[in-house]
Amino acid sequence: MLPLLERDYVDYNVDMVALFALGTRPAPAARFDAYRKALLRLQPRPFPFGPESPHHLLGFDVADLVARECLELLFDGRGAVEGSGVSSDEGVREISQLVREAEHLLEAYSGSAASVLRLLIGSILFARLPVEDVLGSSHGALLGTIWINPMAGWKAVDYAEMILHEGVHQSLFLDEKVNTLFTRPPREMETDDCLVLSPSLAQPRPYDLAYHSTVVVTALHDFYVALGLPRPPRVEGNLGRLPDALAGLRRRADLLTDHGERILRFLEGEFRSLRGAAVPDPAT
Amino acid sequence: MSDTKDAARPEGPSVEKQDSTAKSETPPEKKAELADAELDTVAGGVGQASLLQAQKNIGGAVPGDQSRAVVSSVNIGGAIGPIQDLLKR
Repeated sequence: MLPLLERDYVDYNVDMVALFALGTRPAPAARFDAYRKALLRLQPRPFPFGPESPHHLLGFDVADLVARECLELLFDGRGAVEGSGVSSDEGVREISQLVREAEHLLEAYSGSAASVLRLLIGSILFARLPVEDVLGSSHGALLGTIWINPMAGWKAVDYAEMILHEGVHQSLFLDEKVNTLFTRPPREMETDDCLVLSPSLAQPRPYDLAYHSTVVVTALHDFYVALGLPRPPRVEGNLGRLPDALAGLRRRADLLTDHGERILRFLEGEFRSLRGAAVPDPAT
Repeated sequence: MSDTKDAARPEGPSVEKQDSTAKSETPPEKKAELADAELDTVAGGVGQASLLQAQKNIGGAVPGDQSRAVVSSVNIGGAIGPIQDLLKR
């Protein structure tokens, strides 16, 4: 499993952020709260972490100014926040139930990964953006909060996949801050010579975004393989693009720090083992 | 509007402010802790920065909004009925 989902690894990263922001390394029992306080100090905007909620706060109310500001950032200009909230009691109950079931699935996948996700994701904002191709997002300036765009017909496994997906982004953003992954700032990785095939979007993307995508796709495959569940067709398609994505990332490994390169090497090893893993046929 | 937003912001230094503060006001006990911590932790064969280096990295991290949004597309999100139907058209 990815080190980014290993509890010891992530604990260290969280502790470093807390030490930097608060001046002291937190005790294990205080780690979540220390991370929340550290992020409040370091990030340019607040987030809907509830101090009363040690783990997931399901933020449905986009009328709340904090949630609204977060969503505007996470929508990334793709639509209006107005009207996007899950407003009906029935909708809230349904999503809450499915998220609980999703958490059980994640626990079954890996106790370590599940606890990492609870540590890193303080708030899940569920909001419906009427676009067909965006299921959620994370932002490097908003650690601790993710947005999920719930689709009609989603089952618990879809919610589990999305929580895992965004959690990997969160862990990567945190890892970038603590250990650094890239040798150049994001804007300098947008030039043509820094573009690499994104296995998820099937198009060339800036190097860091293709790197994010490759890590996420690798984690999702591991999730389905570990649980013995059939991989959805599009996830299967992403796997087919991993060799080209990994080759592209390797070709411009000069954009990676030593640490980023070690993660890439880990991904290359994971891909070799994933490729040989027996998985159920999605058609059966 | 902006007043309201500002009122909602937490008190506390920005990344840049925190950076300068950390460089100039590191307490002696913390310096000792940092100097004593050149050992990397390791998970999955991937080493992590030492305490000292990690603190430098965080201080020099890309500030706030210069970071990116990573949007999760349907291609990553898995097989979901209505979207599958759209793609089949």
